[in-house]
Amino acid sequence: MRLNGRLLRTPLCIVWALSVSISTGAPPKNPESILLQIFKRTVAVPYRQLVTMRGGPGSKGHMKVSIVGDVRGRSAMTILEPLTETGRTIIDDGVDLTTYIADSKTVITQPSPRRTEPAPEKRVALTKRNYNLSIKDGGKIADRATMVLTASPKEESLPKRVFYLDARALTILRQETLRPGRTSEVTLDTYHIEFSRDIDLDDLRPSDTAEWKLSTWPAPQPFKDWEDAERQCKLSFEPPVDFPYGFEIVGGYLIERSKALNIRLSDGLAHVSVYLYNTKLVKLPRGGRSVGKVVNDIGINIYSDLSTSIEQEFLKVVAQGVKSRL
Amino acid sequence: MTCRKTQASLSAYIDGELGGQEMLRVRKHLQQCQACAAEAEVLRFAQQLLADMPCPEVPIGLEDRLVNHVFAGTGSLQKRSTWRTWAMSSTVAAAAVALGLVAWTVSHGAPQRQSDPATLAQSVDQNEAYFAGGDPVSPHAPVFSVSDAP
Repeated sequence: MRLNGRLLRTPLCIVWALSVSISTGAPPKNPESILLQIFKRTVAVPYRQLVTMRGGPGSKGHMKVSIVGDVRGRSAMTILEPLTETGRTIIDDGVDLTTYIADSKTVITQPSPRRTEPAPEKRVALTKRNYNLSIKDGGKIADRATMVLTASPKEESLPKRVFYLDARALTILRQETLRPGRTSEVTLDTYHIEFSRDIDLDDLRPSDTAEWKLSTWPAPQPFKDWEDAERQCKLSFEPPVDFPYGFEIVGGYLIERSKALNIRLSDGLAHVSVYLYNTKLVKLPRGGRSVGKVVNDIGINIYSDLSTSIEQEFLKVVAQGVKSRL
Repeated sequence: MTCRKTQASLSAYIDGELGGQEMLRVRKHLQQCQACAAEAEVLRFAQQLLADMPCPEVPIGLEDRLVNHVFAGTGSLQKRSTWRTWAMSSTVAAAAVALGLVAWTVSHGAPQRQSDPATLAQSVDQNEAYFAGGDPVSPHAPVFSVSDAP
Protein backbone atom coordinates (compact mmCIF):
# COMPACT_ATOMS: atom_id res chain seq x y z
CA MET A 1 0.00 0.00 0.00
CA ARG A 2 1.37 3.39 -0.90
CA LEU A 3 1.17 6.04 1.76
CA ASN A 4 -0.43 9.30 0.79
CA GLY A 5 -0.26 12.69 2.45
CA ARG A 6 -3.63 12.40 4.16
CA LEU A 7 -2.75 9.07 5.78
CA LEU A 8 0.50 10.48 7.04
CA ARG A 9 -0.89 13.77 8.26
CA THR A 10 -3.09 12.34 11.03
CA PRO A 11 -0.34 10.48 12.98
CA LEU A 12 2.08 13.34 12.38
CA CYS A 13 -0.40 15.76 13.90
CA ILE A 14 -0.74 13.50 16.93
CA VAL A 15 3.05 13.29 17.31
CA TRP A 16 3.30 17.07 16.94
CA ALA A 17 0.57 17.62 19.53
CA LEU A 18 2.33 15.31 21.94
CA SER A 19 5.68 16.94 21.34
CA VAL A 20 4.18 20.34 22.11
CA SER A 21 2.77 19.04 25.38
CA ILE A 22 5.93 17.18 26.40
CA SER A 23 7.08 19.66 28.89
CA THR A 24 5.44 19.18 32.25
CA GLY A 25 6.66 22.61 33.19
CA ALA A 26 9.42 24.83 31.82
CA PRO A 27 12.69 22.94 31.34
CA PRO A 28 15.47 24.15 33.63
CA LYS A 29 17.69 26.94 32.30
CA ASN A 30 20.44 26.35 34.80
CA PRO A 31 23.34 24.33 33.24
CA GLU A 32 23.94 22.25 36.36
CA SER A 33 20.26 21.25 36.59
CA ILE A 34 20.24 20.36 32.89
CA LEU A 35 23.37 18.27 33.27
CA LEU A 36 21.85 16.51 36.28
CA GLN A 37 18.77 15.68 34.23
CA ILE A 38 20.96 14.25 31.44
CA PHE A 39 22.99 12.12 33.87
CA LYS A 40 19.76 10.89 35.49
CA ARG A 41 18.30 10.16 32.03
CA THR A 42 15.05 11.81 33.07
CA VAL A 43 12.50 12.19 30.25
CA ALA A 44 8.83 13.12 30.44
CA VAL A 45 7.70 11.23 27.32
CA PRO A 46 9.28 8.19 25.61
CA TYR A 47 11.21 9.03 22.45
CA ARG A 48 12.68 7.34 19.44
CA GLN A 49 15.69 8.99 17.85
CA LEU A 50 17.58 8.13 14.67
CA VAL A 51 21.19 9.20 14.91
CA THR A 52 24.61 8.80 13.43
CA MET A 53 27.16 8.22 16.16
CA ARG A 54 30.69 7.04 16.65
CA GLY A 55 31.19 3.26 16.69
CA GLY A 56 32.58 1.28 19.61
CA PRO A 57 35.32 2.62 21.89
CA GLY A 58 38.44 3.39 19.89
CA SER A 59 36.52 3.58 16.63
CA LYS A 60 36.68 6.68 14.47
CA GLY A 61 33.94 5.41 12.15
CA HIS A 62 30.27 6.24 12.53
CA MET A 63 27.19 4.05 12.61
CA LYS A 64 23.48 4.71 12.16
CA VAL A 65 21.57 3.86 15.29
CA SER A 66 17.98 3.98 16.54
CA ILE A 67 17.80 5.02 20.20
CA VAL A 68 14.73 4.65 22.38
CA GLY A 69 14.40 6.10 25.88
CA ASP A 70 11.49 5.87 28.28
CA VAL A 71 10.24 7.66 31.36
CA ARG A 72 11.84 5.07 33.66
CA GLY A 73 15.29 5.98 32.35
CA ARG A 74 15.57 2.72 30.42
CA SER A 75 17.23 2.85 27.02
CA ALA A 76 17.55 0.70 23.92
CA MET A 77 19.82 1.00 20.95
CA THR A 78 19.41 -0.82 17.65
CA ILE A 79 22.17 -0.61 15.07
CA LEU A 80 20.96 0.11 11.55
CA GLU A 81 24.32 0.49 9.78
CA PRO A 82 26.97 -0.78 9.05
CA LEU A 83 25.50 -3.97 7.63
CA THR A 84 27.95 -6.10 9.63
CA GLU A 85 26.26 -4.88 12.83
CA THR A 86 22.69 -4.37 11.61
CA GLY A 87 20.03 -5.64 13.98
CA ARG A 88 22.19 -5.74 17.05
CA THR A 89 20.05 -4.43 19.91
CA ILE A 90 21.34 -3.36 23.30
CA ILE A 91 18.81 -2.80 26.07
CA ASP A 92 19.75 -1.33 29.43
CA ASP A 93 16.88 -1.34 31.91
CA GLY A 94 19.03 -0.25 34.83
CA VAL A 95 19.16 -3.80 36.20
CA ASP A 96 20.39 -5.85 33.26
CA LEU A 97 22.24 -4.99 30.09
CA THR A 98 21.06 -7.33 27.35
CA THR A 99 22.68 -7.52 23.94
CA TYR A 100 20.84 -9.32 21.13
CA ILE A 101 23.09 -10.27 18.22
CA ALA A 102 20.80 -11.36 15.41
CA ASP A 103 23.51 -12.61 13.05
CA SER A 104 24.88 -15.17 15.48
CA LYS A 105 21.53 -15.68 17.27
CA THR A 106 23.12 -14.85 20.57
CA VAL A 107 21.78 -13.11 23.65
CA ILE A 108 24.34 -11.78 26.09
CA THR A 109 23.23 -10.64 29.53
CA GLN A 110 25.26 -8.65 32.02
CA PRO A 111 24.39 -6.61 35.09
CA SER A 112 23.68 -3.01 34.04
CA PRO A 113 26.67 -0.65 34.37
CA ARG A 114 24.25 1.81 36.01
CA ARG A 115 24.31 -0.32 39.16
CA THR A 116 27.82 0.85 39.97
CA GLU A 117 27.98 4.27 38.31
CA PRO A 118 28.81 7.31 40.46
CA ALA A 119 25.85 9.31 41.78
CA PRO A 120 24.68 11.88 39.18
CA GLU A 121 24.95 14.70 41.75
CA LYS A 122 28.59 13.81 42.39
CA ARG A 123 29.27 13.75 38.67
CA VAL A 124 27.73 17.19 38.21
CA ALA A 125 29.89 18.55 41.04
CA LEU A 126 33.02 17.07 39.42
CA THR A 127 32.07 18.55 36.04
CA LYS A 128 31.45 21.95 37.61
CA ARG A 129 34.87 21.83 39.26
CA ASN A 130 36.64 21.17 35.94
CA TYR A 131 34.49 22.98 33.38
CA ASN A 132 32.85 26.35 32.89
CA LEU A 133 29.27 25.60 31.92
CA SER A 134 27.07 27.90 29.85
CA ILE A 135 23.71 27.63 28.15
CA LYS A 136 22.20 29.51 25.22
CA ASP A 137 19.48 29.06 22.62
CA GLY A 138 20.50 27.23 19.45
CA GLY A 139 19.08 26.63 15.97
CA LYS A 140 16.93 23.71 14.86
CA ILE A 141 18.07 20.11 14.57
CA ALA A 142 15.75 17.47 13.10
CA ASP A 143 13.08 20.16 13.13
CA ARG A 144 13.36 20.63 16.90
CA ALA A 145 14.34 23.85 18.67
CA THR A 146 17.56 23.43 20.64
CA MET A 147 19.47 24.75 23.63
CA VAL A 148 23.25 24.61 23.52
CA LEU A 149 25.09 23.49 26.64
CA THR A 150 28.81 24.24 26.37
CA ALA A 151 31.36 22.76 28.77
CA SER A 152 34.66 24.65 28.42
CA PRO A 153 37.50 22.93 30.28
CA LYS A 154 39.51 24.92 32.82
CA GLU A 155 42.56 22.97 31.56
CA GLU A 156 43.13 24.34 28.06
CA SER A 157 44.62 21.17 26.60
CA LEU A 158 41.41 19.22 27.18
CA PRO A 159 38.62 19.25 24.59
CA LYS A 160 35.56 21.47 24.85
CA ARG A 161 32.23 19.61 24.78
CA VAL A 162 29.11 21.03 23.18
CA PHE A 163 25.68 19.44 23.63
CA TYR A 164 22.73 20.52 21.48
CA LEU A 165 19.66 19.61 23.51
CA ASP A 166 16.01 19.44 22.59
CA ALA A 167 14.72 22.69 24.11
CA ARG A 168 11.68 20.96 25.60
CA ALA A 169 12.69 17.37 26.36
CA LEU A 170 16.45 18.00 26.94
CA THR A 171 17.34 14.93 24.86
CA ILE A 172 20.83 15.23 23.34
CA LEU A 173 20.35 15.87 19.62
CA ARG A 174 23.94 16.63 18.70
CA GLN A 175 27.23 16.24 20.52
CA GLU A 176 30.45 17.91 19.44
CA THR A 177 34.00 17.65 20.68
CA LEU A 178 36.35 20.56 20.01
CA ARG A 179 39.99 19.67 20.55
CA PRO A 180 42.51 22.49 20.86
CA GLY A 181 43.88 23.44 17.43
CA ARG A 182 41.63 21.01 15.58
CA THR A 183 38.28 21.19 13.81
CA SER A 184 35.23 20.15 15.76
CA GLU A 185 34.12 16.56 15.63
CA VAL A 186 30.45 15.61 15.72
CA THR A 187 30.23 12.38 17.70
CA LEU A 188 26.42 12.17 17.66
CA ASP A 189 23.90 13.79 15.31
CA THR A 190 20.14 13.32 15.09
CA TYR A 191 18.27 13.21 11.80
CA HIS A 192 14.88 12.25 13.19
CA ILE A 193 13.25 12.24 16.60
CA GLU A 194 9.70 11.52 17.68
CA PHE A 195 7.99 11.56 21.06
CA SER A 196 5.07 9.29 21.85
CA ARG A 197 3.60 7.60 24.88
CA ASP A 198 3.03 4.54 22.63
CA ILE A 199 6.74 3.87 22.27
CA ASP A 200 7.45 0.73 24.26
CA LEU A 201 11.04 -0.26 24.79
CA ASP A 202 10.14 -3.92 25.31
CA ASP A 203 8.80 -4.06 21.75
CA LEU A 204 12.43 -3.89 20.60
CA ARG A 205 13.34 -7.21 22.18
CA PRO A 206 13.41 -9.90 19.46
CA SER A 207 10.46 -12.23 20.10
CA ASP A 208 11.79 -15.46 18.59
CA THR A 209 14.84 -15.97 20.78
CA ALA A 210 13.84 -19.37 22.20
CA GLU A 211 16.54 -21.15 20.22
CA TRP A 212 19.17 -18.44 20.52
CA LYS A 213 22.37 -19.10 22.41
CA LEU A 214 22.24 -17.43 25.80
CA SER A 215 25.49 -16.20 27.33
CA THR A 216 25.80 -14.64 30.74
CA TRP A 217 28.85 -12.44 31.05
CA PRO A 218 30.04 -11.26 34.42
CA ALA A 219 30.24 -7.54 35.02
CA PRO A 220 33.53 -5.98 36.05
CA GLN A 221 33.73 -6.53 39.80
CA PRO A 222 33.99 -3.27 41.75
CA PHE A 223 36.47 -3.39 44.60
CA LYS A 224 36.84 -1.17 47.63
CA ASP A 225 39.79 -2.79 49.32
CA TRP A 226 42.99 -1.86 47.47
CA GLU A 227 45.12 -4.38 49.28
CA ASP A 228 42.79 -7.25 48.46
CA ALA A 229 42.65 -6.17 44.80
CA GLU A 230 46.44 -5.94 44.65
CA ARG A 231 46.76 -9.39 46.20
CA GLN A 232 44.37 -10.93 43.69
CA CYS A 233 46.13 -9.34 40.71
CA LYS A 234 49.58 -10.02 42.19
CA LEU A 235 50.76 -6.46 41.81
CA SER A 236 51.56 -3.49 43.96
CA PHE A 237 50.27 -0.02 43.28
CA GLU A 238 49.88 3.11 45.33
CA PRO A 239 47.30 5.43 43.76
CA PRO A 240 48.61 8.99 43.37
CA VAL A 241 47.05 11.61 45.60
CA ASP A 242 46.38 13.84 42.59
CA PHE A 243 45.81 12.88 38.99
CA PRO A 244 46.50 15.38 36.18
CA TYR A 245 43.87 17.78 34.80
CA GLY A 246 41.53 17.52 37.81
CA PHE A 247 40.65 13.87 37.18
CA GLU A 248 39.75 11.66 40.10
CA ILE A 249 39.02 7.99 40.64
CA VAL A 250 35.34 7.20 40.04
CA GLY A 251 35.60 3.41 40.09
CA GLY A 252 37.92 0.47 40.54
CA TYR A 253 37.21 -2.96 39.08
CA LEU A 254 38.69 -6.43 38.83
CA ILE A 255 38.51 -7.90 35.35
CA GLU A 256 39.81 -10.92 33.48
CA ARG A 257 38.99 -13.38 36.27
CA SER A 258 40.60 -11.03 38.79
CA LYS A 259 43.95 -10.97 37.01
CA ALA A 260 43.81 -7.31 35.99
CA LEU A 261 42.81 -4.09 37.68
CA ASN A 262 40.79 -1.38 35.91
CA ILE A 263 40.82 2.06 37.50
CA ARG A 264 38.38 4.52 35.99
CA LEU A 265 39.12 8.24 36.21
CA SER A 266 36.92 11.13 35.22
CA ASP A 267 36.81 14.91 35.20
CA GLY A 268 33.02 14.74 35.04
CA LEU A 269 32.71 14.46 31.26
CA ALA A 270 35.88 12.81 29.91
CA HIS A 271 37.09 9.41 31.09
CA VAL A 272 40.50 7.80 31.40
CA SER A 273 40.66 4.05 31.89
CA VAL A 274 43.80 2.58 33.46
CA TYR A 275 44.63 -1.13 33.29
CA LEU A 276 47.21 -2.66 35.62
CA TYR A 277 48.28 -6.29 35.45
CA ASN A 278 51.14 -8.57 36.34
CA THR A 279 52.74 -9.45 33.00
CA LYS A 280 53.66 -12.87 34.34
CA LEU A 281 49.94 -13.68 34.48
CA VAL A 282 48.38 -11.79 31.58
CA LYS A 283 49.51 -9.56 28.75
CA LEU A 284 48.15 -7.08 26.28
CA PRO A 285 49.51 -7.27 22.73
CA ARG A 286 51.72 -4.39 21.68
CA GLY A 287 50.27 -1.67 19.51
CA GLY A 288 46.53 -1.06 19.48
CA ARG A 289 44.94 2.16 20.60
CA SER A 290 46.34 2.55 24.09
CA VAL A 291 49.56 3.98 25.44
CA GLY A 292 51.35 1.66 27.79
CA LYS A 293 54.55 0.48 29.39
CA VAL A 294 55.83 -2.22 31.72
CA VAL A 295 57.37 -1.22 35.06
CA ASN A 296 58.89 -3.98 37.20
CA ASP A 297 56.78 -6.65 35.43
CA ILE A 298 53.59 -4.62 35.97
CA GLY A 299 51.88 -3.70 32.72
CA ILE A 300 50.14 -0.33 32.55
CA ASN A 301 47.81 0.66 29.69
CA ILE A 302 45.80 3.84 29.36
CA TYR A 303 42.63 4.06 27.25
CA SER A 304 40.74 7.29 26.68
CA ASP A 305 39.21 9.58 24.10
CA LEU A 306 41.90 12.18 24.77
CA SER A 307 45.13 12.96 22.93
CA THR A 308 48.16 10.70 23.22
CA SER A 309 50.18 13.43 24.97
CA ILE A 310 47.51 13.67 27.70
CA GLU A 311 47.43 9.88 28.02
CA GLN A 312 51.23 9.94 28.42
CA GLU A 313 50.81 12.31 31.39
CA PHE A 314 48.52 9.79 33.08
CA LEU A 315 50.90 6.95 32.23
CA LYS A 316 53.75 8.81 33.91
CA VAL A 317 51.79 9.44 37.11
CA VAL A 318 50.47 5.86 37.30
CA ALA A 319 53.97 4.43 36.66
CA GLN A 320 55.27 6.39 39.66
CA GLY A 321 52.62 4.69 41.81
CA VAL A 322 53.81 1.28 40.65
CA LYS A 323 57.46 2.09 41.31
CA SER A 324 57.00 3.48 44.77
CA ARG A 325 56.09 0.18 46.40
CA LEU A 326 58.20 -2.30 44.45
CA MET B 1 41.41 -3.63 4.67
CA THR B 2 38.86 -6.32 5.51
CA CYS B 3 39.33 -9.15 8.00
CA ARG B 4 39.05 -11.72 5.21
CA LYS B 5 41.84 -10.11 3.15
CA THR B 6 44.00 -9.69 6.24
CA GLN B 7 43.64 -13.31 7.28
CA ALA B 8 44.48 -14.47 3.74
CA SER B 9 47.73 -12.49 3.96
CA LEU B 10 48.61 -13.31 7.58
CA SER B 11 50.98 -16.19 6.90
CA ALA B 12 52.93 -14.16 4.33
CA TYR B 13 52.90 -11.19 6.72
CA ILE B 14 54.41 -13.21 9.55
CA ASP B 15 57.04 -14.62 7.18
CA GLY B 16 57.91 -11.06 6.09
CA GLU B 17 57.05 -11.88 2.50
CA LEU B 18 54.58 -9.05 1.82
CA GLY B 19 55.40 -5.91 -0.14
CA GLY B 20 55.81 -2.64 1.78
CA GLN B 21 52.33 -1.17 1.16
CA GLU B 22 50.60 -4.50 1.79
CA MET B 23 52.67 -5.02 4.95
CA LEU B 24 51.61 -1.59 6.26
CA ARG B 25 47.96 -2.25 5.48
CA VAL B 26 48.00 -5.58 7.34
CA ARG B 27 49.90 -4.06 10.27
CA LYS B 28 47.39 -1.20 10.52
CA HIS B 29 44.48 -3.63 10.44
CA LEU B 30 46.05 -5.79 13.17
CA GLN B 31 46.41 -2.73 15.38
CA GLN B 32 42.70 -2.02 15.04
CA CYS B 33 41.18 -5.52 14.97
CA GLN B 34 41.56 -7.69 18.05
CA ALA B 35 40.17 -10.78 16.30
CA CYS B 36 42.78 -10.69 13.52
CA ALA B 37 45.52 -9.82 16.02
CA ALA B 38 44.57 -12.94 18.00
CA GLU B 39 44.65 -14.97 14.77
CA ALA B 40 48.14 -13.64 14.05
CA GLU B 41 49.26 -14.68 17.54
CA VAL B 42 47.97 -18.22 16.93
CA LEU B 43 49.86 -18.42 13.64
CA ARG B 44 53.04 -17.10 15.22
CA PHE B 45 52.74 -19.66 17.99
CA ALA B 46 52.21 -22.53 15.50
CA GLN B 47 55.16 -21.30 13.48
CA GLN B 48 57.30 -21.20 16.62
CA LEU B 49 56.32 -24.79 17.44
CA LEU B 50 57.46 -25.86 13.98
CA ALA B 51 60.69 -23.93 14.27
CA ASP B 52 61.43 -25.63 17.59
CA MET B 53 60.99 -29.15 16.17
CA PRO B 54 64.32 -31.03 15.87
CA CYS B 55 65.71 -31.24 12.34
CA PRO B 56 66.65 -34.87 11.47
CA GLU B 57 70.27 -35.58 10.47
CA VAL B 58 70.77 -36.54 6.81
CA PRO B 59 72.60 -39.94 6.61
CA ILE B 60 76.16 -39.76 5.34
CA GLY B 61 76.43 -40.61 1.59
CA LEU B 62 72.68 -40.07 0.90
CA GLU B 63 73.36 -37.57 -1.86
CA ASP B 64 75.78 -39.97 -3.67
CA ARG B 65 73.37 -42.86 -3.38
CA LEU B 66 70.50 -40.74 -4.73
CA VAL B 67 72.56 -39.62 -7.74
CA ASN B 68 73.66 -43.21 -8.45
CA HIS B 69 70.10 -44.50 -8.27
CA VAL B 70 68.76 -41.78 -10.52
CA PHE B 71 71.30 -42.52 -13.26
CA ALA B 72 71.22 -46.33 -12.82
CA GLY B 73 67.44 -46.61 -13.43
CA THR B 74 67.18 -50.33 -12.45
CA GLY B 75 63.89 -52.16 -11.91
CA SER B 76 64.69 -52.94 -8.29
CA LEU B 77 65.34 -49.25 -7.70
CA GLN B 78 61.97 -48.41 -9.23
CA LYS B 79 60.28 -50.77 -6.78
CA ARG B 80 62.24 -49.36 -3.88
CA SER B 81 61.54 -45.83 -5.12
CA THR B 82 57.83 -46.53 -5.21
CA TRP B 83 58.00 -47.80 -1.65
CA ARG B 84 60.09 -44.78 -0.59
CA THR B 85 57.71 -42.37 -2.30
CA TRP B 86 54.81 -43.99 -0.43
CA ALA B 87 56.76 -43.85 2.85
CA MET B 88 57.70 -40.22 2.33
CA SER B 89 54.13 -39.29 1.40
CA SER B 90 52.85 -41.01 4.53
CA THR B 91 55.38 -39.16 6.65
CA VAL B 92 54.40 -35.82 5.10
CA ALA B 93 50.70 -36.63 5.59
CA ALA B 94 51.28 -37.62 9.23
CA ALA B 95 53.23 -34.41 9.81
CA ALA B 96 50.41 -32.40 8.22
CA VAL B 97 47.83 -34.10 10.47
CA ALA B 98 50.01 -33.46 13.54
CA LEU B 99 50.44 -29.81 12.54
CA GLY B 100 46.70 -29.52 11.96
CA LEU B 101 46.04 -30.91 15.43
CA VAL B 102 48.50 -28.47 16.98
CA ALA B 103 46.88 -25.54 15.13
CA TRP B 104 43.38 -26.73 16.09
CA THR B 105 44.33 -27.11 19.75
CA VAL B 106 45.91 -23.66 19.77
CA SER B 107 43.05 -21.92 17.97
CA HIS B 108 40.34 -23.63 20.04
CA GLY B 109 42.32 -22.99 23.16
CA ALA B 110 41.58 -26.34 24.81
CA PRO B 111 43.79 -25.71 27.82
CA GLN B 112 44.33 -21.93 27.67
CA ARG B 113 47.81 -20.75 28.38
CA GLN B 114 47.93 -18.54 31.41
CA SER B 115 49.72 -15.77 29.58
CA ASP B 116 47.68 -15.67 26.39
CA PRO B 117 48.07 -12.04 25.28
CA ALA B 118 44.80 -12.03 23.33
CA THR B 119 42.70 -12.82 26.39
CA LEU B 120 43.18 -9.52 28.17
CA ALA B 121 42.78 -7.57 24.92
CA GLN B 122 39.27 -8.99 24.49
CA SER B 123 38.37 -8.25 28.10
CA VAL B 124 39.54 -4.66 27.70
CA ASP B 125 37.50 -4.26 24.51
CA GLN B 126 34.37 -5.59 26.23
CA ASN B 127 35.03 -3.58 29.39
CA GLU B 128 35.38 -0.28 27.52
CA ALA B 129 32.19 -0.96 25.52
CA TYR B 130 30.40 -1.89 28.76
CA PHE B 131 31.22 1.43 30.42
CA ALA B 132 30.53 3.43 27.22
CA GLY B 133 26.98 2.05 27.41
CA GLY B 134 26.57 3.26 30.95
CA ASP B 135 27.45 6.87 30.14
CA PRO B 136 24.70 9.07 28.70
CA VAL B 137 27.30 11.48 27.28
CA SER B 138 29.71 8.87 25.91
CA PRO B 139 30.96 9.73 22.42
CA HIS B 140 30.91 6.03 21.53
CA ALA B 141 28.28 3.34 21.01
CA PRO B 142 28.55 0.43 23.47
CA VAL B 143 29.58 -1.98 20.73
CA PHE B 144 32.23 -4.68 20.90
CA SER B 145 33.40 -7.07 18.23
CA VAL B 146 31.01 -9.98 17.60
CA SER B 147 33.97 -12.34 17.47
CA ASP B 148 34.50 -11.61 21.17
CA ALA B 149 31.32 -13.50 22.05
CA PRO B 150 32.35 -16.61 23.99
